[in-house]
Amino acid sequence: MNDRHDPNLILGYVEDDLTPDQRADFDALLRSDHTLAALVADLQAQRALLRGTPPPPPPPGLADAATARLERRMLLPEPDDLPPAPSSSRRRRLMPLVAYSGVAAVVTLTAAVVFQSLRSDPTDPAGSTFSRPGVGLAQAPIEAQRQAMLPPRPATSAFDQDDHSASAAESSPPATVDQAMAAENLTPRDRGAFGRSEAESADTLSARSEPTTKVPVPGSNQSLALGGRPIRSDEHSGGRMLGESPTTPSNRTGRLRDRLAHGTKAAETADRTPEPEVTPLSPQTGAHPTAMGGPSPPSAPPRPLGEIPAGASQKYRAVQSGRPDLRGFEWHPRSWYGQPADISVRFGKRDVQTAALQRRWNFFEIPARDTAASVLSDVSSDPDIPATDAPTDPAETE
Amino acid sequence: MDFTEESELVERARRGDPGALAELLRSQESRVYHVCLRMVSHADDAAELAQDTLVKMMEHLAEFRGDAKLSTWATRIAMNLSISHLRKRKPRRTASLSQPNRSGQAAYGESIPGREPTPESCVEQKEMLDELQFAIAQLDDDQRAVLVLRDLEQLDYQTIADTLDLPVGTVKSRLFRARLSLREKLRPAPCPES
Repeated sequence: MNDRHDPNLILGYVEDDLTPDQRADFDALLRSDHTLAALVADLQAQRALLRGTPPPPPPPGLADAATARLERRMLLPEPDDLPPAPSSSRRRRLMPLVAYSGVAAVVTLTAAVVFQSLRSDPTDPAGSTFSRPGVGLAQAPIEAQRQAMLPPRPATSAFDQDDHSASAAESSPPATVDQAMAAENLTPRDRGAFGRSEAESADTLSARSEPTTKVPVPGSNQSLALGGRPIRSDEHSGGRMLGESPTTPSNRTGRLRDRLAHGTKAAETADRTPEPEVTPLSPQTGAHPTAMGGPSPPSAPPRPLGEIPAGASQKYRAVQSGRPDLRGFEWHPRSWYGQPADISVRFGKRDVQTAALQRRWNFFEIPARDTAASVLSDVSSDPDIPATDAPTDPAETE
Repeated sequence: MDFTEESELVERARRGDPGALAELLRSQESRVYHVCLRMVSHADDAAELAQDTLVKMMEHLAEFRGDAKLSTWATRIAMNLSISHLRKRKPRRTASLSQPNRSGQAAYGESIPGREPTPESCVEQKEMLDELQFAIAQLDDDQRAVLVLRDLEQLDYQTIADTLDLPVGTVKSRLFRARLSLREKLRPAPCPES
């Protein structure tokens, strides 16, 4: 139909754009072609209908709304002008990084804390490895042990005053044995064990002129002059083994004896000017000699620097009872089951700032300004140090 | 408003005369809204598009060279925005020519001038307008634009060509195809017996 006719002519006839001649020719064509005439009639009716449709009125205030919108856009950025917010995918990409960073920070902080705690700070008595309860030198970290093995610093002459006064102020020992017994809640059996030790007090120490054992001092040309009295199996009574209940009679006896000896010693060491009496020896390292007669335990402390085979318990008691100016003293009670006790002396360069001598199981904190050698020699020459030990406790020796 | 008055109004609005700008916008809002409504067949969308058109006119008034009429320029902006809106809007919505729109205005078919309508003729006319609007909404965007500008806005070929930036021949061919498509859509479906 329209393929056989010119579309422009049909459109022109519908739009009434034809010239009169063209219109006359097309009218003749429409009279001969009824199909074309029907098409043109539909198009004309359609056009008339569309043109007859009234325009709907615009909503009121359209121009004013547009003006207000333009003013608002000039003052405030519209949502289209705002910078895009971070998308969820971007947040999802950032979340793992934030989480990993947090975990890394926590791990680093934890490692730093652990490392710092493992490092024994000698200037901090509270955080020191040697000053922690129940931690001896043998139980200290390797680094701490290595530091303890280093040669000691030169002793100072005026080290005693502050430490002695602090020690005396800190520990006020009981006046009598009865008071001490009552304070420690001991039995008469304990008193009997303790009484002999008290009777053999300082004035009998000098009378016991026992052979001296020389203990080499590492890092120096000095050695310890120790007593030669054989050590009995109960010489550890002043100490407390790991796992041992602190309320056992033997422990209470040891503590009471320590307190009494400490009191006796603290009252008289203030005006004492000890000078160590040492004999140079070559440094000795390795296990304990067979002179003690006891086999070395499998968990022996590393590199014992010396031992006190005879009369060591007295010195040990003297050390723990009244010498706050000691550097370090470690006692290995290997004779707990009937074997003679060994006393190993360790010298450390680390300062243990304790006012009084404190016992940490088998380790004794000693202030830094002295060496164990001088301390022990002082103890040897101190007439107030008890010379005898407590009687053997069958329960402990077994 | 003739071309001279329009040019003066545009010049005053460019110099910052708010009264001239408001008068300019009011002179174009009706045409702009009509174009948008015929194109998108939705009153609310048409109002939004008309507002966008007026805002764009104000924003780009300095760029108006004055080679064509301001109405042609405004219609072109409205047509482009409407076509963009139709391309974004997938589900097509059509507005009823016989039912009142959402703004409470009368239906398009109710205000057709002419003879005193009888009830029967009113019903037939409403049905016809509904069918017509539905058929227009089913046309292609290009054909609908030409048909709207030619029949509903009653623009000449050259203005349509200027508005749509098309040659006049293309406008004519699109218009003819649009009329044929509209006739086919408005033709009643053949009976199964026949």
